[in-house]
Amino acid sequence: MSEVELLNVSKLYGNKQPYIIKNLDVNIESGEFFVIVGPSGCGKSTLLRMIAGLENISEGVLRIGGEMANHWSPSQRDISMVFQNYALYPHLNVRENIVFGLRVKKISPEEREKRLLEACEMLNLTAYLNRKPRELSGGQRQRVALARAIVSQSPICLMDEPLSNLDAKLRAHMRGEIRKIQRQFGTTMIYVTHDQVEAMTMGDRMMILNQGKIQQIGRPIDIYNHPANTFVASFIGSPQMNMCEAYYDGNSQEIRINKDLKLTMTLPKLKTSTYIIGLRPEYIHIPQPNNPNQTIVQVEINHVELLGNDTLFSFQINDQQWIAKWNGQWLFEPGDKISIALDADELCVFDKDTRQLVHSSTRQDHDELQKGVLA
Amino acid sequence: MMAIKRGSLYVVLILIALLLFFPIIYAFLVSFMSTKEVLMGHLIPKSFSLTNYIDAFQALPLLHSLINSMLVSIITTIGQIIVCSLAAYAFVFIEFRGRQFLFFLFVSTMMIPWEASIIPNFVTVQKLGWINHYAALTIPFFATAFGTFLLRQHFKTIPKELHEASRMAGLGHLSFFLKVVMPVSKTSLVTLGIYCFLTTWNSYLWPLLVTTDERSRTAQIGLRQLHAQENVTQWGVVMAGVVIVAIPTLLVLFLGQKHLQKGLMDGAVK
Repeated sequence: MSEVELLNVSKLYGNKQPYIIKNLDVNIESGEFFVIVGPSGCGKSTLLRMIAGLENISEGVLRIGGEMANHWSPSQRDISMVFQNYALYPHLNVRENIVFGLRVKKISPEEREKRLLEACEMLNLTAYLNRKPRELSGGQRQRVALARAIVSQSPICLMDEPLSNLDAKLRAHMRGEIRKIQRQFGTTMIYVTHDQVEAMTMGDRMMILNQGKIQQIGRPIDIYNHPANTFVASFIGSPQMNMCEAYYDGNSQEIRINKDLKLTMTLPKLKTSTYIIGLRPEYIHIPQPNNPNQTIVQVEINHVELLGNDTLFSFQINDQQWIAKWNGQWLFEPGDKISIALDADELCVFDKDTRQLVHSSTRQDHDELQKGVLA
Repeated sequence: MMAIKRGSLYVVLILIALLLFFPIIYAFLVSFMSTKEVLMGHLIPKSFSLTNYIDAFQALPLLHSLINSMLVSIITTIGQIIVCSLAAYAFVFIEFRGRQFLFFLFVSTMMIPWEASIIPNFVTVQKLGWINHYAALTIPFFATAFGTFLLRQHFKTIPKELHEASRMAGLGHLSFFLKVVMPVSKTSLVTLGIYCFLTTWNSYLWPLLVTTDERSRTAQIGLRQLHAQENVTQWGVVMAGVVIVAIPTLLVLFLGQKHLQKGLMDGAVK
């Protein structure tokens, strides 16, 4: 059953300004962890606030639990929300902050206490119940905000970049915590972030927004492997997908990137024309002897980043900087000339004008490898 | 070296404090002197007798006017806090057309001196039959542009997410106002309260206009009467009255200061 349904939803402020969100159609299933991701200003927070009832819906229909909810007040929608800056009541202590909403909903004191203790146990807040928000660290405040959402036991929970004010280590920890809690309660979670790591790791499905329009909806891994357009391709994945223009010759079945670099690939559906090709940094390989699929090319390194477990180095292809990611430690220096290997099967091809995907990488070897290790 | 620097700093501060405080100290000392002593220009009274204080209470219904002053000041303060905070809330948290314009119109009334509108106000109060009533002394001061402005500025610092979180929890405007806005604005409310109490306590012209009998007069007018009653002003008695009248204002300041804590908003966001 779809819990939250948006039908052709648009948002504009006033009458003449451009659309903040335009003709958005999406179904969010019950119990799903749905991530909305996009660059700042893409309308993702506005969308969340429209679902919450904090912003009006200019056009279209919002359904919650199958019923039209456009004009429901925020509290009628029975939704909990975690704000980016937590929005804790500064004059109340942790305990009062957490049960604040329950008191308004006239839930019995015994039930309140039960839910409070349960949530605090789960989030390690029991020791801080009598502290004021100003006496807490950022991570603790974040957990109080989370606890407030948990105790409400609303079927739908909205989160607006809840982890963006935390340091990297705590963020990684909280990612797991939030996912765990969501699974435990079966909450329908709508989670807004601009962090693509959060989007990749947390969501059952994700939606990529840009300039108020849906770019793609799908499982994170599918979006990673088959980005619908160049925007998605460059937004998801870090370092981002390498891209450049290339010419496809249907007769010789060759992709010509420049005069030295040609890859042979069969694209029966495509006519001879200029396309944009994309290649993930991890698909730039170390040349292996006797591999017929490889095309080897020499490049000059102009920047190296040693990450310990991986090495990133960049080089010039036509007028674009490409980045390659190799496992292990490679002590290259800028100026070194090295050979790299490309595999035509791993290329994504986009239309030059519409920027839509016309051919995606056909690599599947992870599935096979996975079968080998699964017990 | 540090000690010398510190010491000299204290000496300078004490000197300045004495200079600023001198009129009050002198008034306090004069309140114990006889008229003769005052006229001789003594600084320190010969003895600390309470005769002047007793005289002050006997010459006038001072106690009664003190009670009047106290009641009027408390009612005005409470009334002003209620009216101004509600007005400020509307200006900050309720969106309506022309809100900005209305607010600036409201605040621009601060540019009109109170004395300029004193006649129409007096006529209004007279027509309402409020002369010699507490209503005349208090109600005209409930709605002030200054109080609304002060509280609006503070309310604006309340993160809008707090309002949104309350809306999602199901709080209406009134509960949000009572349960969140008022508690987190304690600092500003205390500031406004003290300011309002002191202004009302010290007001002179308006109470003089709207009261005609002894029973409803406030302490400031009582003091003035003490001053002019006889040919030779008994400065000792006047100063005794001044000291008595000043005590409540000092008390309000001392008590209020404790509540003027900073950083009440800390921890709401981020």
